[in-house]
Amino acid sequence: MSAKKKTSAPLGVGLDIGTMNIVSARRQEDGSVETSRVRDAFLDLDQSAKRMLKLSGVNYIDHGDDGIIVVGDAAMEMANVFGREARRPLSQGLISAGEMDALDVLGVMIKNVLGDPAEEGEACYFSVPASPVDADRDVVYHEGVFSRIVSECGFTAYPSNEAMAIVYAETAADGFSGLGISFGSGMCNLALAVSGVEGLCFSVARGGDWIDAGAAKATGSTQSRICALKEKGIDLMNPQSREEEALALYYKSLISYCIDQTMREFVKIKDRFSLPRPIPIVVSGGTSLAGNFVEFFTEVFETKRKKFPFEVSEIRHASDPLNAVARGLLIQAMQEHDED
Amino acid sequence: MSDDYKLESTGGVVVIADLGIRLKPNEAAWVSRGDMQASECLRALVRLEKVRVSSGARSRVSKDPIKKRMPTAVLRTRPNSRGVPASPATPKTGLSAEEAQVMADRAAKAAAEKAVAAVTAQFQQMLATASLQPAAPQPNIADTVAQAVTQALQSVSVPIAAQRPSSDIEDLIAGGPDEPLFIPTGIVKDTSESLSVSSESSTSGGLDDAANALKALRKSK
Repeated sequence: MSAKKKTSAPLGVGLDIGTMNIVSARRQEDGSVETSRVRDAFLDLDQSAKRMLKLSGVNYIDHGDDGIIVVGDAAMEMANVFGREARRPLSQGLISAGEMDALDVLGVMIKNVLGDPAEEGEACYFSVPASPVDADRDVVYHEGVFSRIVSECGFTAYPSNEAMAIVYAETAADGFSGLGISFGSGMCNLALAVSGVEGLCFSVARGGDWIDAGAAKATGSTQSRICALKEKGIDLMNPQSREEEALALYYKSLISYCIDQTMREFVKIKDRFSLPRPIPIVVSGGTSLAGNFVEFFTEVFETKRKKFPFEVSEIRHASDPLNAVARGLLIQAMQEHDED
Repeated sequence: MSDDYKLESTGGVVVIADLGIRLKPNEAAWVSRGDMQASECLRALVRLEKVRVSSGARSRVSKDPIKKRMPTAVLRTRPNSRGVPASPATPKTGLSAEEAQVMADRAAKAAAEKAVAAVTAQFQQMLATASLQPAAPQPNIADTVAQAVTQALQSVSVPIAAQRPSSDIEDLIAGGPDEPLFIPTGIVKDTSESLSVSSESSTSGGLDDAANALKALRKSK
């Protein structure tokens, strides 16, 4: 690893570690932002598949007698070829203790996405979900594992809340005040901030996977088929088939659930956190890429606006929903190298 | 128990001819068991529900005791022309309060010394017994002290608070607030494979503005 590479580009890296994708964001010398992405999935195959993978030019990790592991987007493609389900290192947004196979895979993926540090100990802010309010999951181990991986890649690791990164990336014009919601694959993360001060942070253990599973069950289909249908493009305001109607129903349920949980959690802090003016809601994440998601969200929100505990100025989509978290983390990482 | 039976009229005047009894309302007559069984007129009248027969046995339930009327006010002595009533004289023992206190302290000290001597003797004896048995398991110090105290002060029971099953202690170690978190090292290998990573460049899109605004915000705080 070349630790002393000189560059005129601003230092600092943002790393969004999600259930579906791992994304890094870094400034380039020309002032642009480079985002690198790898699918957070892997597939273990026998040694017999090695020849075919070589012929098709697919990269793999050779584990000798233990077989080979295909990582990233190729794992999804190979899973279809072999009629298998690709494995996910993360489940519902978090890595589980004891998933030793997944650790090695995550190490390879993150090293490839991050690349080498521009200088020894370059700051890397990586995303950590908030503790879920509806599941007994521990984020301490998750945070510890990724701190270790990022450190072993030669960076100085800084864990940072996923939804707060959306606030940093998207609400600068609002004085870093807003409710950021990251609709991810494994879970949804929410953070409420005023003037950059975090007032409320939580997650729910439902996300895109929950929508797929629910819609598949309701229509007698498979989760992967529903997922493919969803990624192909669906208009939530105008569903065209029974599957799309089921998807729209589960989207509505998820949005409603997030709004309800926000109301419930806000009650706990309302006495010590004041909102002097209306604030925006910014939605982001891969699950929010469905057609007319913001309009759909607004429609659900309007049914609850009267009961909502604070005034909302607008509901908008993040400028780059897939990379908003990584960009927000990059903004924070750049501060670490700011000499002023 | 009496063998007499009580006869009562359920309505108007009833005549029990073969017994020669005339029953008026709210009146009762008593007959023996033999007369009652022999009288056909009575049996007929009972069937017609003109006469009610009940056992002549006296109730064994005692009557409620007579309720005493509680005083509505407490009568107190009060000063009168002869002055305040004198309190009852305390029995004279010939000791002052100070002398009694000194005696109590002396007795307590003697009792404590006696108890300590007894406990020490018991404790030493138990340790000596344990040391003579090398194969025996190591005595639990808490148990030994508790037994010594219990034997020395027969009537005193000593709760063994420190005694816990080993599994509980293991639970404490495993689930305590300072539970160690194992995170393996060497997750990232130097010889890691290179993967195909999709990269794209985009304009900073207000990233610089956001970074500057955040810097200004943090400085202002």
